Amino acid sequence: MKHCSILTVLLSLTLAALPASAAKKKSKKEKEDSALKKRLAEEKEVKAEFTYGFNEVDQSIVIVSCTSDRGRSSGSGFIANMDGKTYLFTNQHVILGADKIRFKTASGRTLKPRGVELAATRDIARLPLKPMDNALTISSTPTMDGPIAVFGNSEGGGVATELYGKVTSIGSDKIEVSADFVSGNSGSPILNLDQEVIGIASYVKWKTNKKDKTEIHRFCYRLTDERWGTVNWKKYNDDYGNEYRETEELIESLADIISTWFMKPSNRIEADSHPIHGIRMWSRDHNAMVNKIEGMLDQGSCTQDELDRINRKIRNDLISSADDLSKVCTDRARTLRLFTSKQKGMTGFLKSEFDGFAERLDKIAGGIDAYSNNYLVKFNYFHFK
Amino acid sequence: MNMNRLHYLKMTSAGALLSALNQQAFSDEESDSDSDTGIDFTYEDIKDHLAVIEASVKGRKSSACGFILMMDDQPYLITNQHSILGMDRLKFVSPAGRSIKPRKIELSTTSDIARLALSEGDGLRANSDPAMGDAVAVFGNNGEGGAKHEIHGKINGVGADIIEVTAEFDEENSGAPVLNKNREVIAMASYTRDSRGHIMKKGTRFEGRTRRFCHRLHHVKWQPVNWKKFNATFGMAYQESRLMIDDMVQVLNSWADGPLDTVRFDGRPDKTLADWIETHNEIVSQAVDIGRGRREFYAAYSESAEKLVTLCEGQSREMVMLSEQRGLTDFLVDELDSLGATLEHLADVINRYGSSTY
Repeated sequence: MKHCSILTVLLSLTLAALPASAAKKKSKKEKEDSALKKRLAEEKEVKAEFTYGFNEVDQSIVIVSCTSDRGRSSGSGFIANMDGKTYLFTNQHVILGADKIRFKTASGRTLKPRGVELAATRDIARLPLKPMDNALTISSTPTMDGPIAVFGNSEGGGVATELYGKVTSIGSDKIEVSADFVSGNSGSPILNLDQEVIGIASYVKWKTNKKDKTEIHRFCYRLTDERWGTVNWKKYNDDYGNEYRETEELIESLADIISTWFMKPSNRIEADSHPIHGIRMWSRDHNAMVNKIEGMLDQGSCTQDELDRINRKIRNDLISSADDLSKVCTDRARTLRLFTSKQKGMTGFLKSEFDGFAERLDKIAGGIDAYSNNYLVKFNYFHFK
Repeated sequence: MNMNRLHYLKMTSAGALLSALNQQAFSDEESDSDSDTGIDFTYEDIKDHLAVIEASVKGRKSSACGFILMMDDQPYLITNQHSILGMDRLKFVSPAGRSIKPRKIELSTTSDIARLALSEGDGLRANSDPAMGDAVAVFGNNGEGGAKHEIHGKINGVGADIIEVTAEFDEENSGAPVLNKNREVIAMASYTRDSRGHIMKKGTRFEGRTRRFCHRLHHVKWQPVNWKKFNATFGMAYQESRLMIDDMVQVLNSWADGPLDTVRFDGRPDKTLADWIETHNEIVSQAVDIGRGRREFYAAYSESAEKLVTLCEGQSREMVMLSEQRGLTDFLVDELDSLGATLEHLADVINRYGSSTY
């Protein structure tokens, strides 16, 4: 995550440096503003259909705060009854990898769950609580186009927000909704007009089409018809939580690295002290190579043959650096697959997560190979002036 | 390019740095419907219970808001810790200019709130039950800091320790009371946060949005401190880092105009940074792009960047070490850690940027 914010800062700095075409931007902004106004007006209409609001359920809305070596993170949750018992519901991905977790209702009550049960296939955890009057009811029947409310910790701001929308599609284990939930809303209840929970806000998927339009889809797992298994959370988290977060971090860092490197083959990579061994080692080797290349800057004059020879050498170094980075990815993907195939205690959700990570790592490796085969092989570092 | 990605909604805390960067704020979606909020009193009605905190640190003046609140029948001046920590000079006055002399200082152990016991006087009453959608008004002082006097809005977020409001207060209003329509204080205006850009926020209310948060004042655990000692040990270093971050962001924003551009600075940076700017500008003014001079220039240039990195890293280490000392509140431990992390981020950014000219 750290690398992510660095990138954001870099990006903002670059943007600050480019005050280009302000007029064009403005008209685009106006368009966006009116689109948002329309969206919010629609939301208001949906809200008007509700006979209750956040204030009626504030005691059942939970703000989840996690800390670990990697820093802080947060999510949402809610209190509901299921199978005659009271539980705190949240997503598995909200609590995985955390050393300390704090659950507090929006009304200020600290919750102390007595264990952890995980859904067999979906990204849901339910944590047993003492019976409570204010627990929400769960419904197994979402209505297509039915109005819904989402109350949760949007953007990890530490407050519960109110969002409204509609059910836009219904699947066997999940539903899609139009309410604008974002990061931090993970684990929020999706409530219908009768104050029943029909799903749990879980993930967002997006696609950018050829016209540069972005399609965003928001998914919520359904809570009924699922098998639940009790786990020893400490052990489960020790076994998988760290691996989960580290792989996530690895993929993010790789995305950062290739975005820097692909801009210019001789760019330095700022990952010499990266916490992940493979990245750290590669970054050091790569930067040493870049230093060596820059050391050749003042070699004076040379013949065409000499120039070709030096360029060939640099090319080979760059290609071998690409091979090394690609290998970091494929090695990790292989280790992950081996890891998941041996683990019997992992839930279906986590297994599919790890499989997804392995797939993405292979894809990144493919991207690096393509960069090497299509670009680096033809790359000449030095030119005659 | 056709991309298909998956993103989970877990939120990782955004760096304090983000709020320092200039983002275009989107004016709040509900402000158009705020004409009738049910607030029937004005700044004039409550100004006797407001306070202005006039401070200066390293020759830079600042002004913050505060207010007087009755807690257990005792009057207290309430403000943010960050407005009083590490100041060289600190003065509390009423909007009318009357001096206020606090007896002792207590700090919240977990959030950015301080309360200063007063010997006498009357104050506002507290209410600990804010509800979503309630009308609120935020009242700032009329000091030199440019805080807005009176800002109306609604509660649009409720948490155990904080609430969010649509009233568009600025950083200068931090420490101002947030009142409900019964003139009761439900929270203290504390900080604003710019939503971090992400593709999933595109077209939503969270895109390019500035959110405004206020600390609730109930359930606060107060820790009395020996102010002089506490401030000398922790306050000074804390404020020094905050200033350094502001200055570094300013330097970086100017430097970002172009790696070989002259770095400009509005106001007075501290001596170390002033020296750095002078030396750095001298180096870039002698930029050479060809021949032997090129290499020497880049060596000097990268050494210059390295100096700034060392500065940030040194201060960062100091913050982390300080945060491990005894006698700190949990709030300040977190603050020092996060200042340390921000300084480290800055060091990374400078490092990257400084080597991007090759």
